[in-house]
Amino acid sequence: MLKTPPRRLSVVVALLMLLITVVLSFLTWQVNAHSEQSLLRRQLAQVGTLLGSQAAVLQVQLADMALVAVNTDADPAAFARFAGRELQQTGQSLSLWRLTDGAAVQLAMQGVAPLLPEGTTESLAGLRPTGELVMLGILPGQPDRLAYALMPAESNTDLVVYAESPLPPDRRLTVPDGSPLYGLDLALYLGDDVDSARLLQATAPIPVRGDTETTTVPFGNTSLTIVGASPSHLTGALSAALPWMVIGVGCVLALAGGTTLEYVSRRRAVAERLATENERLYRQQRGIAGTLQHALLPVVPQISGVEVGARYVAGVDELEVGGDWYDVIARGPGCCVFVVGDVSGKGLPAATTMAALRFAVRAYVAEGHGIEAVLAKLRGLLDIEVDHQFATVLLGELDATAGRLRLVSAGHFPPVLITHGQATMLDCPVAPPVGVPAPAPAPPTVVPVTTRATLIAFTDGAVERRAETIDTGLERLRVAAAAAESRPLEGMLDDLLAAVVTAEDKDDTVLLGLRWS
Amino acid sequence: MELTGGPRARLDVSGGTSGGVVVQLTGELDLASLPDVAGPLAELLTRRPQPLVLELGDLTFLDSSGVSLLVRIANHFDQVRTRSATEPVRRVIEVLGLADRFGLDEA
Repeated sequence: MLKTPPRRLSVVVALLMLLITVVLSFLTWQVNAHSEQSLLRRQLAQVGTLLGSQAAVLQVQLADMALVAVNTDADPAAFARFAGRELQQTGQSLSLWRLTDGAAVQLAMQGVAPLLPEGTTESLAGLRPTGELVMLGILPGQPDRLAYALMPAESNTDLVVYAESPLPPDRRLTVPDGSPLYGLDLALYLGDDVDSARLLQATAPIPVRGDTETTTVPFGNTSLTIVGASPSHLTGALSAALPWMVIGVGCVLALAGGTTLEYVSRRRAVAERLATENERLYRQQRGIAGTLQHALLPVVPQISGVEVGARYVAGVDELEVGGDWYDVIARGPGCCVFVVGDVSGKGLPAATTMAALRFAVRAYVAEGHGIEAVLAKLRGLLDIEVDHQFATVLLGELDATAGRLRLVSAGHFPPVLITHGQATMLDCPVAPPVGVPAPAPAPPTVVPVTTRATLIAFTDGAVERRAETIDTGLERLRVAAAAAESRPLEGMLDDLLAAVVTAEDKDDTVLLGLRWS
Repeated sequence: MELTGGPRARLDVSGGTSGGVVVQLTGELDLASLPDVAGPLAELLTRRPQPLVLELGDLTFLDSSGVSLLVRIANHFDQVRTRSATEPVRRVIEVLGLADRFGLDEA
């Protein structure tokens, strides 16, 4: 289909649809990302609550031990007994210290030996009796440990409980199935900012990748910073895939839309081209038809001594010619042969037969035949049984110099002769029309004519009307001819045409006028 | 010219024995109404040549196409006689020089 580049409109529409698709997809992605982020934030808040409560657990553990120590006056055996029960975690180190003169002295110890790196005892010595869990930091070791301590909030005590809890290898946190933390990438940092040196635990390699959320919760005397990300989609696979689905469907629609538009506009262009071509062909044919029809209409000849005029009306609106015709052939000064004829029927079939008969008459006259012979020869050209047409023909021979008019009629009206204000329908025997078998040729009528007279020959269109007999029409024409005699021939023909032709009962009509003086 | 309505022309044939056929034409016979009588005409032209009587007393209009039809009928049969004709139709036949051909009596 695409032999030529696509139209600009199709491309623009397709691109516009693509643009809308991209925007929609972007919006969907934005909404989804926002939901994602919001869900993650909520999950991290839960995690924060969970871990914050963990601090409370540690605080209660140490506070309980401190209370036992205070109440037993720091009895190592009692501490050991109580601490032993508390040692749920392997590798935990619990110890009891007394602060004396700004220094810390260990009284009892349970579990593994504390690492106690340099400065730890000084840190312990600086504690105040607040009953608050004090985080002392991460101690390097095998494994690393988290150190914390608590001095009970008793006014008269100098006891401190110190604990070290091992951190998992590589600070790796494994989250069991079903935990609220499951599925999240999490990293826990001691303190209120992200510092890899103070990383407590992480479920994934740090730094945590992806869209992260950070939250900070209080943890003893310090804070715990939690960084989280969700490698899977919290809003669900469908929601996450939605932008891609939007872009996929949008692209398909844009392509389909562009293609459809292209197809339709091409079809339309083809149709328009065809219409233009048809219009051109129609004009061309009309032009040809018009030219041919004009060729069928005779040119009025110049004859010395005889003035000739004619009017021609075609009964079919689409045509300029019909079945009627007239012709005048000069035969010397004041002499001519004229013919008026009418082929039965209308339109093109009648017009083509008319043309054949008209040229046949010219040919026979040119051969020198008299009008009787010409009529006899015409009868051989048309047969109603074969052609389903017949033709009425009036042939006349005018010798104005000799004052003689000869007529033969094959089914045709005789002409009107107007002289000195008198109009007469000439009397002329009528033989059957050409195309209808005729028993014997009719003899020609000879009419003596005076000098200065006008002869009007015509076809039935000039006298026939549906609502009346022919005689009424003939009389109308005769009266009009008498009235118009004084007019110049052209004006007289115009008057007659106006008098006899009606718009509603239109038929092929010929008026042929000959005037001599 | 009517553009709507039923047939405007009718062609009825009666007789057909030794007495010859009688063809009655009714209505207005012109180029436009020729198809109205095409069926009966075709049937009529299959009959053997015999004397023919034309009844044109109810034919109110006749143009050259209608005359063609009458000529074809007359050509097919022998001894054509027109028994009745309305004045307009009679005059059309007369000016065409076909009064003898159709056996039209002088009015």
